[in-house]
Amino acid sequence: MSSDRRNLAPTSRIVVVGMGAVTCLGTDWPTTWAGLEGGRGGLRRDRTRLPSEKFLVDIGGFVEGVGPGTPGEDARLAKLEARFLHLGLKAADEAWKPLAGKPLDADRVGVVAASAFGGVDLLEQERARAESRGRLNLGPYTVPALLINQLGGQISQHLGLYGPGFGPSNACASGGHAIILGAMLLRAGMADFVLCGASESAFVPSIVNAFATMKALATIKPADRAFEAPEQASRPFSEDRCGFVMSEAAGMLSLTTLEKARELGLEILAELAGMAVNSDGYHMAAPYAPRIEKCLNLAIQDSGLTKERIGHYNAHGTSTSVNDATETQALTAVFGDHAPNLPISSIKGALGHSLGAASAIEAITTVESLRRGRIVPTINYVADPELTLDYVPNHSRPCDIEYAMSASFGFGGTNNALVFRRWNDE
Amino acid sequence: MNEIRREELYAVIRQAAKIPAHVLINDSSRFVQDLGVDSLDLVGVLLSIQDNYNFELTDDEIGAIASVGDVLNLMAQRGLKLSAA
Repeated sequence: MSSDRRNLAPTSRIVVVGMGAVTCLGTDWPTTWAGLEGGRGGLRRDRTRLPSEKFLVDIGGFVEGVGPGTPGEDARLAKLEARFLHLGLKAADEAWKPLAGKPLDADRVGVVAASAFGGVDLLEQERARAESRGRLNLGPYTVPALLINQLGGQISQHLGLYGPGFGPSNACASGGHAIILGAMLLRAGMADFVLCGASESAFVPSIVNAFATMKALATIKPADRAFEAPEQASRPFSEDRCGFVMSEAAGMLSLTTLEKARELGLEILAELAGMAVNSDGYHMAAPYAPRIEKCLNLAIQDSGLTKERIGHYNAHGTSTSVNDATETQALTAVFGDHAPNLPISSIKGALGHSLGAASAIEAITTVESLRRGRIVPTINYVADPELTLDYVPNHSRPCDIEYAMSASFGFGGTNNALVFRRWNDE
Repeated sequence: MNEIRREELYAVIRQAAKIPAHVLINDSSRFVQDLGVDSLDLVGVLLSIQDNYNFELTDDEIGAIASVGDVLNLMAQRGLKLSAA
């Protein structure tokens, strides 16, 4: 039943032509996907990154082999000791690969690169350094590398892309917002291609400990199953979920119109069939089911589908008590009789919560699920009698679906939802 | 520290501005022209040298620095001499 979209002009249809990710499961997307599909957990205890004299928790999702000080890194980037720039640039390189060297107008390529916290790690490092030396001076790269839009700036500089640039920041919805903003640039005719997504690395005491103090983070006690098995600390939709586990990651996508993709003979990975963003206007941190419902409905409406045609939902699923209950409530309201038949996955059980980057990686996962006909599991799952939908527990499963959805919700009451369509050459 | 080991100072400069290993540093190296250091990098280099050798440069002095030798002269004025080794 794809004839409805075939009636749309190729200039108004948006397709995904490249994807890249750097996560605690791998420093590229294929490795990350293999881990997700295999039900592997990437979280671990690391008291070097999270020493107990400085941090209230010691489990997280850490990227190995990318970051300041890595042998062979670009000399220009080496100066900018903010990890989100390094992770984001690596993911951008991977996502841009199918387009590298193609005959395209670089002035018509936009970069929308988001983050929630930007270069806070460098800020904290420089402040501590100044304090220890008894100086007021901070290093000259502190301000430029702290800025969220510096990620887009570095991508632009590195890949030679000179179209519209934005550095949106929408807390834990940042990545999804960046994809939508990128798609809007294409829809508005302001760009022919966009590289969009998000990067995050905010393992600094002031952020981690503030999240822990507000009881958003999982704090693992000796009796907890994750005490001996830290990879089980994040368990979305599970009865014993006790907060999210912070991670660092980046995810980027290359988008273009169907017309341009065909013109350049690019492989199309999926179509972005619908999208929506809205605001709760309700609370600074708590999610709000009625506005989440509205957002999901708006995205379905934008795709021109009936809700029954959505065959899979990649969840925000943070593993906090409140989020997972609220999201389940919203899904039940939106999908009604279809809700029990909708496979729902949260990859945060495997990857933890990479804050601003999470929703970009979840969008990429949704695309890959459609491509491969494979739904990834919600790992570490133990049924909660109060949450009764199908959370694809612990094992991936085959699927034959045309449309899948991904959504995310951020502090500040900001929501987004994306609908992707499996590409079948029409 | 009253003595400066030359190679150590070069290493501080190299590390602060991430100067690639194939670019040679010596006393006559000019930061911008020879070492590829831009004005922002130079601020970091001088901050790092002041931190490592525990002295202060004035804004006027910083404005006049063009080469590694200029830094060594300013350090010498503060009693920081190159070691014989």
